[in-house]
Amino acid sequence: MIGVWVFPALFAQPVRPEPVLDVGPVELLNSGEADFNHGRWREATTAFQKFLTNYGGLPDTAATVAKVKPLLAICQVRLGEYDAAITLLDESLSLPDLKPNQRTDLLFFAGMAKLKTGQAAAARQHLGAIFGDLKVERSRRMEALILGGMSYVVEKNWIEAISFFQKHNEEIRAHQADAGARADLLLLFALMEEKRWEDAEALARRMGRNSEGIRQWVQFSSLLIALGSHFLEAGESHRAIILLRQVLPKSEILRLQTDRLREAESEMKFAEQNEQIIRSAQLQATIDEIHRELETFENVPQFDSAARLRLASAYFQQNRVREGCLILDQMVRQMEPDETVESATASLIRGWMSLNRFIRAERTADLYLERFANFPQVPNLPEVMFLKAQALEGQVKYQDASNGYLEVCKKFEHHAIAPQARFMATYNILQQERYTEAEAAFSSQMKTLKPTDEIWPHVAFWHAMTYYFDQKWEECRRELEAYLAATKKRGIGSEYADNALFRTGYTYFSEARYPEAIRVLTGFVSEYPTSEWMAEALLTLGDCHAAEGDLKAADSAYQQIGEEAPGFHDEGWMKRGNLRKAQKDWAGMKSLFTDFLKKRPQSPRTVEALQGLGWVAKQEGDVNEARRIYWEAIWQWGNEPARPGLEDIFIALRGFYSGEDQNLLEETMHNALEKSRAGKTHLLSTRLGWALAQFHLSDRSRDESMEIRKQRSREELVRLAPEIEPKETAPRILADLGDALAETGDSEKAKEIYEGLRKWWPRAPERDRAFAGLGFIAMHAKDELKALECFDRYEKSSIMPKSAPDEHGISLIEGETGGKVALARAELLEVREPDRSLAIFLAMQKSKAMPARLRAEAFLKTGRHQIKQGHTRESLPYFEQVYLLFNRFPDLVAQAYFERGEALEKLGLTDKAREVYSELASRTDLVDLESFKRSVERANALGGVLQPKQPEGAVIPPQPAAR
Amino acid sequence: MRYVFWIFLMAWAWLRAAPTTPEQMEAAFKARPETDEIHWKDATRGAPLKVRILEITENSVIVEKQLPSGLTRRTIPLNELTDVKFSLTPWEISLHRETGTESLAALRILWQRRSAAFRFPSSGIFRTAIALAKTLRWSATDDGFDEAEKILRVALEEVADNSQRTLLQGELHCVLLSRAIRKESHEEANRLAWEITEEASEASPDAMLLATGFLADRHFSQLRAIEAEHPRWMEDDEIKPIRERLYHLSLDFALYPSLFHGQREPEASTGLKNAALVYQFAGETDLWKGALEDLIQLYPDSPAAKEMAPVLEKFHKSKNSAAPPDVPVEPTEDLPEAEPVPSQNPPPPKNYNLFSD
Repeated sequence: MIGVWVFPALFAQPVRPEPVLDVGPVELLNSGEADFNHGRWREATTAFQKFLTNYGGLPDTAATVAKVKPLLAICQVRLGEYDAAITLLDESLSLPDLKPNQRTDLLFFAGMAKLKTGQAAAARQHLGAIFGDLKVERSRRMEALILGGMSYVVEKNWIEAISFFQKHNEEIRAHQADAGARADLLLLFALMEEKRWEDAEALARRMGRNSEGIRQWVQFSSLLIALGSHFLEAGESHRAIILLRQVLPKSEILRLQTDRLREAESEMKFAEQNEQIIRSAQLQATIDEIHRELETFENVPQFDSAARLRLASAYFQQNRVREGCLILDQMVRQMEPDETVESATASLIRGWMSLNRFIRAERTADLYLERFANFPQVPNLPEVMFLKAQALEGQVKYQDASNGYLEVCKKFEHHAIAPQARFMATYNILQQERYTEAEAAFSSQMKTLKPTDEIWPHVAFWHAMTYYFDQKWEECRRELEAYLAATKKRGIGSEYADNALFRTGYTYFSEARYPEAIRVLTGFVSEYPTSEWMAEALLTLGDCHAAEGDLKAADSAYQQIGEEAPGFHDEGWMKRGNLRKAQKDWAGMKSLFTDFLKKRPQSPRTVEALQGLGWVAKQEGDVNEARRIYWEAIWQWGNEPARPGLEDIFIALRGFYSGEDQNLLEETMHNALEKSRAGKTHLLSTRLGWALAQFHLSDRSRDESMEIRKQRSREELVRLAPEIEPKETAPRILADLGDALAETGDSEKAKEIYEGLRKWWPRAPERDRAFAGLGFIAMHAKDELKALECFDRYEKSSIMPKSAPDEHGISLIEGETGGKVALARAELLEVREPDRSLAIFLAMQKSKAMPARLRAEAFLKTGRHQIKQGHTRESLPYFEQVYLLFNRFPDLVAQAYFERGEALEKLGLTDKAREVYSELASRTDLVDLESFKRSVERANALGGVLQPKQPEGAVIPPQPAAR
Repeated sequence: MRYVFWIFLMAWAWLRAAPTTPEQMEAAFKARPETDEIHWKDATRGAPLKVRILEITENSVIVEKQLPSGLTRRTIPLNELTDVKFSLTPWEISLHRETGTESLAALRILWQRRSAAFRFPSSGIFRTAIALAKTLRWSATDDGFDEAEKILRVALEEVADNSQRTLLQGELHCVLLSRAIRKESHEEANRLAWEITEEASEASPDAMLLATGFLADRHFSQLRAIEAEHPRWMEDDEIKPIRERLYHLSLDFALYPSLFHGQREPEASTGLKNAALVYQFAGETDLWKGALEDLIQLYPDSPAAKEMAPVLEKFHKSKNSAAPPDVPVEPTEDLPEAEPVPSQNPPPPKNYNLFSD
């Protein structure tokens, strides 16, 4: 391939016979010269030949013949008639009295013709006579130099070619960039043929850096690919990349090459116009060469893929997966599908999977399936389909993944990948907690397998685990025992053996069959001392012993749990404390928990240890000792950065101050807070301030209303705000503080605190409160879209239970915050989505999990919603429901009465409206409310307040709850 | 037969010292060889005539030709012609290749004298439009951008050939994006940059390099912003996918120049440096080191490689230590100010886009 591009014919013009006019010698000479000067070589040849034939033998034409022959020879060279030209050129060169320039031209064309006819040494002699003669004009010498060097290339004398070009190329380059680039290309080729790779690389890099002069881009690119491939095969990735990255896309090469061709053609016209015969001849040669290269190049299939695949391979070789994938990604989309593209696309999917870019892997797999669906050879199809399913699994799309795996086993039933695909299909059903289906599928696959099959242990174990998750203990045990027996008997597939034995023990434990559980778990402990399940097994074993009354054995089991599993370790420690409690071993209990606090001060279980110690002190009648223990812990850890369990210590303190001692606790906390503030222990101050606010909220000793208690609590919290650093503050404190600030109207600070909670505590359960709070703030600021976005995020992040979607697809987060958010959302949607808004109000009304007040508000707001929608009559029952069902919320009841009255008036039912207003006017318990006063006014306007009849919907209105 | 080599030498001298001032251009126009061609609509008027075209106006072309009677100038109505072809002299070729602001005056004159040639598809005048627009773009002035846009839009209205249109469109993209970046219209720049990546035209490497460079910086900037805003992003199921997307796109965009236009050293080496900085920021020590190695191996002479060489040196010195070398995370000065992190992906691409998930 390279040879074809490097050794094109120098000249090849089609021969077009032209008629010759029968004219005299002067006309023939004039016509020949004019044709010669205009590059009409055929016409000139005909005229000169005619002259020589008709007048060449005449005695007085000898001098003219001597001038005509060189011109005819040059024409023949330009026409590619080298043999004829050589004879004339040799003859002409022997003529005396040649002018130096004429001689140089004849030498040049003789060299060119001889080179073309394979007489490289003779050509070199002629060309050497030019380039060796420093008196010759420079541009002619340079052209001669290039052809001289090419003569070695034609002879495949690489060493001489290299030596020649290395000696002269700098001079050629300095003379003319494009000539230098031509010479460099020849040198590059020679170096590669001579396997002088480092020199070739250095030259190729230099050429790449100075590519302006390159006219033969096709040749250059082909040489780059060949050179890059050499380094790739030699494992020298960086060198390969350096070269291959210089290879332009085929379309760009074609564009560049066409541009250069156009430039060369322009330059040739210029040279011809100025009668630069050698330059013109050389440019013609270059142009012809480029034409041939272009023709060949346009027909080269897979040029881009060859280059890109090699470049990608070099990056993969360097372990640059992302880079390799990006190159392949573009490549496989731009190329026509073939075997190379098929294989490359599969590699690309593997690459994206290895980078965990599942979406891209899935998308590439889709591309593969689209492009190769009807391709005759698709060796990678099963794996690609499998990888696509894996990509879906990586995106947590378990059902789609399961379907994908199933498709693999259906389509390639007898392929080696089919059993694995079938297993994975079921495993993804198991991920969806669809145990019955998973059990049936695993069971069905088990029947097709032998224990020696590679997939058998996986299917067997997870089949058993399906029963385990479904709490079918007996069936689970049966399958696990079968699995364990098979692994022991055959010594294969034992990777789940420890897990299987532990789970077996656990099934007995779950059925309260403690002796069997103890037998199995004891065996587990001795058989698998390094198992990852050891900690959990020891805890379960301890529980079994305790249940059997063997407290010593239980204590021993708990004690063996290593610290490397801190959760189980601390749990075991607490249980050991409980064992001592059961044994009424106060001293032992005290010693154990004291030890725990010393050794595990950072544990989230510290509060339990403290409670244990406090409990002991209480049992011993020493409440002060219990208080001392707690306060000591508070002073010791209270200023530490946030960690789970720390705030519980502060809250638990109240358990040791009952009755009148509550005042003492409040005083002690105030004193501690002052001391802490003085000592600038900010975190402790925050915790104490927050604990004090919590204390005020729940302190019923002063006979204050809930609203007053809330007010005091809010004030306590708001005072903390300036000192709060969200990064170090527990999320529950931040959530309480944010709410308090929002309720007191300091939206900016509240927002800051909520944002801090969201930012620093992404896994905290209180994060949903931050989103809800931010939503309410946005709603008050009339930023409806922001509010809706925050409510979406609230619902997404909330850990509270969520109701099943109703017939309108409405699903509510249960609890007070969830209800408030739902009502707020419904209000926000009233204009843009009135139907959905109504559906939310209706869902709220029905939800038993919602606080009663919020349900009452839902009824009231549904009534208002109907009025806004122009459905006045439909609003009536909703208002009515409020005072019939929710009498303990007087403010809502009064509003419902009044607004029902207004609706009736709007409908023209003034008598009925007057009755409703009068009914409210008879409710002395609502006398202070604004709606009451307005109802009285309206009743009077309609004819006066009617005397109370039987109140609508209720015989005796219940007493309202204390406000 | 005459051998007039001195003419060639003179032409070569022109190439070496291409005219740049209006006066030089005027002289250069007059000295151009008679190698341009005009093609007659009326076939009986003969073969295409080789002339020196001095100027094309809306209705006519002014040509010169050396006749036996002397140098003759003619004004030929355009409606008498089917085609006009310019044969570019070496200095004109050089002028079209270079985009230095020193070429601006000369290109403007070329444009003024030839822009009416758009009606002739073989005139190649679209190249002058692109060269002039590119030079104006490099001048980076508001007026320059506006003038460049105007020229390209005129050209796009006139040109029907698809390949020529692609090149003109590519340069227009560059002009619009450069202007948006200069004016700090981030959203507009973002929209344009994504539009360019969707077309991913290999015929317009300038546009792709500009777009990917901008998007690499923007995504890295947003990556830093989101990590600052969500320091515990790895624990945040909502933020993690957004952060991952920004991380991957920062790298994909940064690596694009070195992977697809490796010969464009300034952009490619800067991209590799930026990829190294993303890896450094993300704490991906091995990949960070790998990107630095690639930068220094592939572009050893680039300013980016020279800047980063001491960092790699620190890596080599600390090779026995598991911890990465203590190098502060750098770039803030080159990057745009952190913008609000998008809560949603950009609109789905119309075409295949290398950078879309």
